[in-house]
Amino acid sequence: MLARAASSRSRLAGPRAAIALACTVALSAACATLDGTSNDGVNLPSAGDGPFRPLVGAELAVGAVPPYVFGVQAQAYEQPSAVGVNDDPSSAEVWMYCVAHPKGGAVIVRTHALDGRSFYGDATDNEDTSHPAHAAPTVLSADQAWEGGTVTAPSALRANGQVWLYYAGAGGIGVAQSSDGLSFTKVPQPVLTPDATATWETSTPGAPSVAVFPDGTWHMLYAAGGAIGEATSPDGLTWTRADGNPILAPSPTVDPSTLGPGETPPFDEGSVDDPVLAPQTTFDGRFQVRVLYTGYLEAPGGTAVRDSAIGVAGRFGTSGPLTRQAAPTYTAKLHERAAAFFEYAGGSLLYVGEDDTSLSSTSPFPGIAGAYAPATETLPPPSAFADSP
Amino acid sequence: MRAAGRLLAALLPVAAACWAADARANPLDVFGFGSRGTAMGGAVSADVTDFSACYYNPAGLALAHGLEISVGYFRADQSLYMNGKNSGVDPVKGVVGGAVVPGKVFTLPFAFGVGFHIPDDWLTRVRALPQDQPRWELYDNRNQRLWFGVDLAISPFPWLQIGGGVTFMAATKATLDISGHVDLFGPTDSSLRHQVDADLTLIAYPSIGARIEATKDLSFALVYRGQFSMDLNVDANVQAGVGLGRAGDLTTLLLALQTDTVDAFLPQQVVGGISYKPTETLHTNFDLTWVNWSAYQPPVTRIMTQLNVPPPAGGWPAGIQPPTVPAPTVVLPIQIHDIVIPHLGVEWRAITQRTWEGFLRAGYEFQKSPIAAQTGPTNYVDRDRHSVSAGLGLRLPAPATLLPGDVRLDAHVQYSVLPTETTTKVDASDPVGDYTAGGHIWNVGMMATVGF
Repeated sequence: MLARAASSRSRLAGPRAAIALACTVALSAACATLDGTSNDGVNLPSAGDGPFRPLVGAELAVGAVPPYVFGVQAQAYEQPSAVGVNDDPSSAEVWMYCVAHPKGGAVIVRTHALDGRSFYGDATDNEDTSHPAHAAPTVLSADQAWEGGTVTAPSALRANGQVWLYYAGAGGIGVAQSSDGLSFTKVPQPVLTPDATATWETSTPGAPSVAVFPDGTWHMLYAAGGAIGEATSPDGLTWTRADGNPILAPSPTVDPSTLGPGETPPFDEGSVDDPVLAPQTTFDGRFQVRVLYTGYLEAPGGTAVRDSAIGVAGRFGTSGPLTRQAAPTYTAKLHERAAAFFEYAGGSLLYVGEDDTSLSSTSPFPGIAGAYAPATETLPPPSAFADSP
Repeated sequence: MRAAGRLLAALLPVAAACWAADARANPLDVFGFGSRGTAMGGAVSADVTDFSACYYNPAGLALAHGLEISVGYFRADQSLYMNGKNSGVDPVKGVVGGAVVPGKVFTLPFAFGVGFHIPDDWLTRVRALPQDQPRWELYDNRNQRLWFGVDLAISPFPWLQIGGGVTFMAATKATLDISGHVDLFGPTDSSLRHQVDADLTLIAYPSIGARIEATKDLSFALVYRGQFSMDLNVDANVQAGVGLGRAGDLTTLLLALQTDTVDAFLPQQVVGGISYKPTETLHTNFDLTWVNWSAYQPPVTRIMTQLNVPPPAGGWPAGIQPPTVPAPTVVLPIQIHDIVIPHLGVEWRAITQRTWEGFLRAGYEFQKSPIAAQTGPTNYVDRDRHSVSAGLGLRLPAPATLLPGDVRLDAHVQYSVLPTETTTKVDASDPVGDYTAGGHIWNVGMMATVGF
């Protein structure tokens, strides 16, 4: 009898359990319709060189006018160059060298940001009256005859334990070296001067940008005659022009009558200038040369301020011509020019000289704007301003 | 006369299918429909009789023995990576289920079936991305959608079942009207009013199938699923005064914007299937699905703009550049080709007791990526996919007097791996550059079916 009862329980237990489980499944299904979230546009692969978007207010110090990161009307900062303060790839701490125009002259100054955005001596930094006024110190000024009274277009890099600062003067391209990035010793003579055999160089070489490639060879890109050339060096001091110059010329001119509705001519069909050399080895082992540059719609020589945008070009390998993207990597319609590039684990920052309209929309002055890539991602809140340059 | 009646009856489901204009696009192609079919790698076109026949082969509905209601839930977590970073592709999850109602037309077996997949998060999701933005083309966005199918099936002869039906989906058309004042340098001082008029319209699209029982142990199936695409059309009209500060309007801006996006496109498919029962307790199935991916239309938004901004009296102020009309979108070819997907599935009735039966299931399917290597400007990311699956089933015949039919419980787990491969760009100035992509997907779910 007990055995039969047990058997009966066992036969019923299966169906009842199944029906109960079926009800549970149905109930859980009904309860499972929960809100969802989308995680779009993050962690996307990127070559790191844009497209860039201007920084927004939440990414800058309180009181700063986006997208400007370094602007003082009396100094008219422009032509930035950025170099990491340390070798930590995750650090956004950066030194920026740029041209200042105190009283109409042109000198090179240095500033400093812990987060890549809040620069020592910016106008917003000096709105804080709890500390003495911060001013970006001059690190290089014209004192050599070949410089012609002006030093411009700084390009900083770290090599051999020193900061090397290439710059342009009236007679060519020079270099200075420093152990602390503040006190520089110039090489007295320019390291690249005009060469009559380089017929495409219809103007004095300028706007240098230098990097050391993995094979130890130094490479310099420079601008001349509305195009970009390349030179190489074993030591950063003795330079030889590369074969095949220029490696980047203006885009071929397009007949406006051939353009369709809404189409515009190439943004860089007038000239290309201000190269920024940013080599990298991709994760799959290919050596890639990335170059940001200023593209001008009109050829140089006119009196009007030319329309411009920041473009990107590149090549695989250590030599040869560059190919370019048809669309600019950054454009703001504010005469942007002479960009600097700073890449760290968090992303890429672009510093661009452009018309600063933060004080007046109709009378802008030169200032340095900040932009970021990947454009789909947002930077964390800024840190405090650096307390030293 | 009797034969003519059978023929007429056979044509009914076909006619029902042909009534619709286009065919289905759904998450079911990727993750399966119902636990039994998913556990068997989708190889059930010749061996399906429950609600999931609405997707796999409507003809199978005609073999149902009684009213059945099924409901369940599944969740597919997609761990897909680019350059080792999780792409954040949303999971696909939701309630699935359906019902089968058999009967007779004249003297012929007849069945009506409905099936549905109701996602948790979005009834439908349409998203247009720039062509160069990397995205998991076949796994992101397009699988976030409602699916609802209604099918009819009939068995004009004991050895032949024919079925067909329609599936419903929504398309979106919207108009956005904006008017007000735009301050060129003071966005916070701008005041705009907007009005949105949006319509969610139904699209119906067909599928038809046939099943032939060659012998008691051998069956064949042929299924056709048509082509489907979902359009998102948004028209925007902007009429606003444009000015500087509080100086009043300088001019009036008139902007007419028309966007047209084809999204969630799924190509037509043909499935051929075979089911063989070597023993009374073992089903071995094999399906081949041809997918006409070469007809794929990239989900790129085509924009047509008309802009009229007359210069103010005295011309534009210094430093102000009037806006210009962007050039029409140039859609780059995606380079995608047709594929054939093999599906393998087995089902073994491992335990047979007087009051219950237990089933073990397993399956495999391989989908070679139809998208060519993205070495150019576009980045429609995809990889080959191997899916292995397993499942358990429990059948309780007539467990209670209230339930004269079966109660069935089914569960599945499916693991898909997309082997990591490197995409190498031709152009060194490509803003995306080289990247690796790959990952895996876990898909688990349960179903409960009650027969009456």
